[in-house]
Amino acid sequence: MNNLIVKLLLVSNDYVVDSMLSEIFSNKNFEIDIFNTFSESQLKLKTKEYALIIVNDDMLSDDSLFKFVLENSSFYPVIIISDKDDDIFIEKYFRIGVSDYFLKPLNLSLFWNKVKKILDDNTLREKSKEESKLLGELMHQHKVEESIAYYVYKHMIGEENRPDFLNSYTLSADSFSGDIQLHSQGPSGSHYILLADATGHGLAAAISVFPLASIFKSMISKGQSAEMVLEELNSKLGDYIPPDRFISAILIEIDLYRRELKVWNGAMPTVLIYSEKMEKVAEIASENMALGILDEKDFNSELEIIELPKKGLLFMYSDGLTEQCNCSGEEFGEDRVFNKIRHSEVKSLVEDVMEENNEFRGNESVHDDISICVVDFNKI
Amino acid sequence: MDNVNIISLPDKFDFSFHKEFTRRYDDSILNTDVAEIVLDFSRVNYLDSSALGMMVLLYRKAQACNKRVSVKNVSGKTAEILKMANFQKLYAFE
Repeated sequence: MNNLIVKLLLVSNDYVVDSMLSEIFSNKNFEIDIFNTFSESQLKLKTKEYALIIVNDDMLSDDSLFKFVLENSSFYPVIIISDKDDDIFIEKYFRIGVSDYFLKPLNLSLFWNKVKKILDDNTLREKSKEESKLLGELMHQHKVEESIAYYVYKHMIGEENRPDFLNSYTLSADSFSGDIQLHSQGPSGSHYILLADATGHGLAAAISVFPLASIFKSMISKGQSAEMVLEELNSKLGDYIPPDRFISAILIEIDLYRRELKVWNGAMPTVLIYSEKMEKVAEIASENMALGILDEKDFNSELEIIELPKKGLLFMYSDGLTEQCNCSGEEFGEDRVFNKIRHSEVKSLVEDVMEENNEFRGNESVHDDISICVVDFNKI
Repeated sequence: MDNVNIISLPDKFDFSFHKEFTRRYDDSILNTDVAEIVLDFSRVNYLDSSALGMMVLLYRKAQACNKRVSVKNVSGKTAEILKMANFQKLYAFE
């Protein structure tokens, strides 16, 4: 108990007990209000906050006492002092929330120690209630702020109509995704697809992809080359995001005029290219560091160029897919992905892989953002 | 080899090791007698992107002070992740 004045309410018609209690509480920072009847005390209860109610009234009917305890025990600790030594009677009052029950004659030392414990417990309970309320308010405030951030996020990233040949999916580990898939068509007609995975997940990761989205869209719309886009992204991300953060990315350019497929892979899982018979015909492993790490002079923006396949597909994904664990701690792994590609149709491939991944995950949470992107060459 | 600080990394190298990791290299960064910081991966069997981020930050600080950074005893899944991230461009592999 602290040094503030603790207010007690005593309902009593026993002058001996009144004087004893007045005595023990007189020098210990207590203020005690004594009433001889319930009606008087109830009036007072409406206007004043008490730390404890003590009822010492053997003249009261059981019904009145029961009703009084029932009404007040949820708000105040209530102690009964009585002559009635009846287990069933006592148990009934404990069931409706009485904090303690003392038989007369009172053992004052025991009474004082128990009262002190009840008041201390109640102080802790009140403090915990206050903290819960504060936590609730903070959670609410967090939700409001998150919804504002989400609105900005969705509008900055922007949703657009994807071309038919592109099928993609992202599963976020949090409200916000640190994975992003962007598509843009340049003035020359070339299609550009960016799959990026920012360090971590959630809002902190999502914030890192904001500049990436606006730089990518603006530069592609102005007809800048993929190499220039990559250099600008690397340079700006190096400036904008914290030094221990970076963005792994794959940039694909589909050059319809030259019939070329250009791929840049920076710290992402290998990009896979399959024939229409679902045989792996090419793969582009990560040969570069993620964006936002290297200086301009060390950064390599060269894309790997292959002839644009007429049929088959390109499959790319973020590492959240293969690193997702099941309840035994086993990772989903690449083999399940390869196997699914071999035995699926292009149009349902993304759904099939995600379905298997979800089944594998079971009740485990999504550990990291998962993205899959499939380019169907037949539809280009 | 007084001028080499070897930092032994834990079994699970992720953000939970951030404070300890920073503490272990901070003195070496400022100490002009230390020429090289070596990360020993012999116990590591898990690392995530935040660990890579910590390694990037260490590289940047070491580079600013003209110190060499390297990794040793890297194997298995950990080696695959570092290779995919092309960390050989930042760290010497022993």
